[in-house]
Amino acid sequence: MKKMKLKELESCLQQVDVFEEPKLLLEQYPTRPHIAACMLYTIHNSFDDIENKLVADLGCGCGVLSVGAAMLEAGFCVGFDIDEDALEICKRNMDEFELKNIDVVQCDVCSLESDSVSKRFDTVIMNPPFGTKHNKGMDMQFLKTAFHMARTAVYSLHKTSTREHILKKAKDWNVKMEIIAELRYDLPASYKFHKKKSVDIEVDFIRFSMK
Amino acid sequence: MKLITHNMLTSHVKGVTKGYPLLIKATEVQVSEVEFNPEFLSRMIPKLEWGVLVQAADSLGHLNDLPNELAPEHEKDEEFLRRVHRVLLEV
Repeated sequence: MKKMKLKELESCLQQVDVFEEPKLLLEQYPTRPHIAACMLYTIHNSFDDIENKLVADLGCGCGVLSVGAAMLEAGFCVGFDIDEDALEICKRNMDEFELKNIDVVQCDVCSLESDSVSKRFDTVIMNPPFGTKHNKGMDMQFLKTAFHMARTAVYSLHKTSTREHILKKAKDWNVKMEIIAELRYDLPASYKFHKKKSVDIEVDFIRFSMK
Repeated sequence: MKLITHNMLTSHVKGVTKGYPLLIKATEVQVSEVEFNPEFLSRMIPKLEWGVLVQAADSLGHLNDLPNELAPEHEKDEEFLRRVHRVLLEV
């Protein structure tokens, strides 16, 4: 297949369906197609961590990252999420794009940690909950699980304000951390307590490589 | 769930050196065509829990003549790779 261009990928990802009724408790908000496409494109072109690789997507939600990874010819991609409703939409997306190299598993990502999946995947990609509101520390739990599962690299988005903390943790866990980009993440108002129409938050796109 | 996913979730409970795989209770078994990717397969095969795959495939009636033991130089045998492909990605 010919190489997919960034624009093509982005416009495909724009057609991916997102949450119908986002759940506050799970901190659900979609990864914007533009950001998802840029992330995946970089992972694919600069680091070659998608094509023919076994990829896991933690907290996949409606699957925009999984769908994108599958389009970039991941050997196989498994999306994990706790929310059945989101996974239903995710499956619909897989069917609509006729992607066969994806599967989804309904489970609590945090419970995977001590379980079975140690180093079974090449690459982990994720846009984890940022760990705000009722979810304090959730971002770090996701990271810990990701490090446990990945053989080569983990790609993730984190609030820039938590960078120092993550740097320290990465050091503790003996993982190399590289900030690939600083993004302005436009979070559209999806919940009642959001007063503004949308807010920009500063987010780091990070690559962690396993030693 | 495809059998490759099942294989990735093979249970290794703490303290047990060799966890046993999750039991499969299939309500429906489907087979759907997936593009054959020999490069990915030859990379994957050594990383699989082979015994678990054979057992799982057998329990679903889709063993597809997979051997109990992996033969050396299996990656050069395209016919074999195609059979693994069927079991791993299409069932």
